[in-house]
Amino acid sequence: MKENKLNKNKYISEDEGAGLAAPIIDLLSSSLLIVLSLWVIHESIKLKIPDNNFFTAPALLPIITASSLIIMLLIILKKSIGNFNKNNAKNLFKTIDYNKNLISPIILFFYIYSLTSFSFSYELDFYYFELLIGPFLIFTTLSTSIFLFIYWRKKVYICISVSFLWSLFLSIVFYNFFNIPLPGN
Amino acid sequence: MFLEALINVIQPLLLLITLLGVSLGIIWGALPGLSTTMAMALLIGFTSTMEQNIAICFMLGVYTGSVFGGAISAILINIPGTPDAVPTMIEGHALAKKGEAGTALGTAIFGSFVGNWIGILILIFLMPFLIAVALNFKSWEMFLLSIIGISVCGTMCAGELPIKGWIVGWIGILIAMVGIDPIFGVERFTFDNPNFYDGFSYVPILIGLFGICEIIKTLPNENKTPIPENIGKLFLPLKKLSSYIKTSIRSGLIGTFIGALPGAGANVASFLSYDIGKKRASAKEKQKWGKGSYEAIICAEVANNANIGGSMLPTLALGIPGNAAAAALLAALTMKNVVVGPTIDIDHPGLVYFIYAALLIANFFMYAMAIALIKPCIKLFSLSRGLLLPLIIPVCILGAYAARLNLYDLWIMFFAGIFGYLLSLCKYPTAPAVLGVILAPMADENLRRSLMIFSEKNISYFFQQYVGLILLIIFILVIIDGIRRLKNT
Repeated sequence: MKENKLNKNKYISEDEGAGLAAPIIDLLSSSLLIVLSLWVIHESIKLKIPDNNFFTAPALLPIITASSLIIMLLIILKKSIGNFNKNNAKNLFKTIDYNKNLISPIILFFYIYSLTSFSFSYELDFYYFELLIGPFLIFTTLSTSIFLFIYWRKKVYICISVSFLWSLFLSIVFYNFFNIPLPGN
Repeated sequence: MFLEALINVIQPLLLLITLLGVSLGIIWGALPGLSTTMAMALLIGFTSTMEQNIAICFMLGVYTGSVFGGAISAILINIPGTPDAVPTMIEGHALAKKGEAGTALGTAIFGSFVGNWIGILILIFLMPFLIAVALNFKSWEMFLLSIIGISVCGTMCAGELPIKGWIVGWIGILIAMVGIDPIFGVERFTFDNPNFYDGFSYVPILIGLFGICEIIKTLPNENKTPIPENIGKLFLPLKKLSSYIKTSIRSGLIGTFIGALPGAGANVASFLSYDIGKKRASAKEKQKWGKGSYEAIICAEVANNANIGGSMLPTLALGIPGNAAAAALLAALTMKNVVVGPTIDIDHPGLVYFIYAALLIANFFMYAMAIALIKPCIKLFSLSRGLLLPLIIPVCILGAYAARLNLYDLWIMFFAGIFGYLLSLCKYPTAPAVLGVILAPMADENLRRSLMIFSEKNISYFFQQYVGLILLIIFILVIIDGIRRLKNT
């Protein structure tokens, strides 16, 4: 009987990780999203209504969406408050390895920052094609080497060689074969 | 028309491109941690300078190949290459441990081939009907369709807690509201930043959500698994395979139907078909379920491959992507100025037939290349994720940049990746956000147009929109089902 009840409540989902999170996480995320939705409503109200007809106003869908979003978030918020346990919440934050989880986004941030901040290119002519040396080749080699050094755990010169060859390969394939300009160049 | 398209596709260059796409897809799908959607999203950039037909053949090849590819690592190393290969992993790896890895793989290849055929045939059969119905849709119906699409996607992606899927879909709608309003040209949430005027392109959002997010999630978790050296013979006797015809047809129908539902992709298809297959199996076969059943592999593989044809149905006929991978295909088509939807046959005559033909050819190549690439794939499994994933990052960068040649898109990709990562930490699904971003402009424009018409007529006019009423009832049913699930949670 118990098994039947469990089976009855089971639903197949496309995203296997989706569901209720730890109450503290649901509490924080839904609170933040409610504040954001309120801000969207506030900004939408400020938008112009060119023909003075609310039904055609550019703010119509944002207001409807943000309002219904708040209702849905309140349901999640209510559930999370019901399941909230202070000790569990404390333990949860203690178990998170911040260094491990933050390192990739930080490297990625500086990689993209470099690509969007520098713009230069030097052309090296070979027999059949020109090789473009610019921010993409340099910063890709650099950031990929760091990633490889941290996660592949090989010697520095191996990481640099692999990342340089890969960056060079991508530069040639995209620029010389697909005629797609490289970021920063 | 179809014959003409088929002749077009069997040109040497297109055949080569399809073969390349299929091979790349199989290898990509076989590598654990690299999903079909990720492959499709990253390769949009590659197609930006390709001709339309070449781009279509390449993307469909990757799609077909990568859905099957997941089965290779699932059977051989007990790690599903793609999430939809989990049922195949349960059964296939159990067979591999008994020394039947080759026949398990052969069955998966056969199942994928049959599944693709069923999906494509149903697509060809139903497409004209769906287009004929969709041509009668007006603004109100188009608005409801887009909202149903996002809601169903939320339900399908979040399973027991659809509300979380809807929340993400609704956030996707809000993200798409940034930019110039299409009716009056009013700036919405642009903060006078010229980069915001055009809104957010969904190519970097797709790459961020399915590429960068996956990399951030997977990189810190290194897995080492033993890799088999000898897989044995590859195929089951034809007599045994022919005993699975009924199972194949049932699974194919499930896969195609699930594929046609927005947001429901190969994962739902393979799990549902696997579950139904278990209930329908003979008592003798039922005992093998979970310990290595060939019929179970057929159920899962036929369904997840039939899903491809199914997902094309709403994508091409209604402009509503059947799943996230189809959304990537839609993005690639949009870059080629191909607007899919009810008027696809009028705006782009012959394109639908070309897509059918390309899918068929890709399926034949999938069968051949699956056999040819098993051994190279086994070698690739020895590569560490710590090596593979960092090498994919620059491909993400190039893919996001190539779509509009705008450096600003790199930031969109980055923040979409971080957003996707936060969503997964909070146990929200990511795919509804993509559907929200894609369908929001359609919802926005059509809602306002239809309300303008309704405001000029009396209330009886609203009730005379019979198709709209049916769609409205469907939408309400989707919401009621979600609330019912929420109560059960």
